[in-house]
Amino acid sequence: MASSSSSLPSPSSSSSKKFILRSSDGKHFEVDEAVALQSEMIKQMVEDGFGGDVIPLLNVSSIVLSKVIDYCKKHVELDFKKKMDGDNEAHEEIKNWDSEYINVGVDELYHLIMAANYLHIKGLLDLTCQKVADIIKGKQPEQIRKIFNIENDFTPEEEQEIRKEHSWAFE
Amino acid sequence: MNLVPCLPNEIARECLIRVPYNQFSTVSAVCKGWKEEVESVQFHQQRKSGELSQAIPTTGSWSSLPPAPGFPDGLPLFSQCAGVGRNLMVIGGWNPTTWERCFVFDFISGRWHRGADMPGGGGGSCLFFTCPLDFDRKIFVAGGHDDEKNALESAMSYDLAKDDWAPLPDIERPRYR
Repeated sequence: MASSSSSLPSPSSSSSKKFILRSSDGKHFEVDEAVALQSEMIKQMVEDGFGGDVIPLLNVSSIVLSKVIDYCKKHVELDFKKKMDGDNEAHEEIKNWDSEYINVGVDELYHLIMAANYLHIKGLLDLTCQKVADIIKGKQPEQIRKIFNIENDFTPEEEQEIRKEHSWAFE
Repeated sequence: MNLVPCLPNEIARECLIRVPYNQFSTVSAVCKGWKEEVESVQFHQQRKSGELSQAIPTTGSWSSLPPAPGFPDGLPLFSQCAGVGRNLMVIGGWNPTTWERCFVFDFISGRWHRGADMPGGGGGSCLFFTCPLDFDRKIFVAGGHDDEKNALESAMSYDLAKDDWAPLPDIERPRYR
């Protein structure tokens, strides 16, 4: 982790408990407890007394899981930094990191949304849903349909009527 | 039919409620499903729910509305505005020939329509005070002056859903400003 060069004690010490997550395609990912517990779903499993060594995540592929783990790791690290350095700087860093992280294509975005929803990671769900909203922002209906593969089910008459009503918004 | 292919509807809704208000007319022009969604009461309730309103960043930018019908150069001087649900109401004003008029702007359709005129045929409606009575459909108006600048103590409420005015008990003393 790049931040381990910092003189601050690292949030992930070697003594902390590890979890192994198994993706739908059978790959294993070892993560710190704090990282795994970013997922409310895993947290709930642990609280309910799940005692196995490996947590199977049947709905998340290894490609997506690795990206989700990146998110959780970074946020554990930044939350820690926020506690140590105070709010403002870390807040800015989170914002910049998030916007870089979420700069992905629509297909990858869908996978991240579904994973965030399944694993119940609220921050990631907020970030991904907001990204969809940001994509919609400032686009014409036709562009939006194309990006999200949505069928235009208005009749030509209805569409003309809508165009007339909304002409001010489309300018 | 899913709102967004590949996404369950409850998640697509999570995305759509994060779209800024001034994009709703575009969103509703995408397909029938999206139109129905942004026009539904649940959509707006979910959007306004405490947890979410913090998560939705405001755009922080101004956008202009189309001119109100009959007022191509802007709203009448001293007219009063009130936000009611997804609508903006504009009533009254300084000009006795138009001050009984009432206009409603719907932020979803992006369209103005004229509501029922204030009763009394403009016997005085350069209003002193306007505010929403509840979140959904009613506004409260009071005071103002008549065309001879006599201050008024009358008060009324307007029901947006019924497009109807109802008298209320007078305010304690006449006020026009």
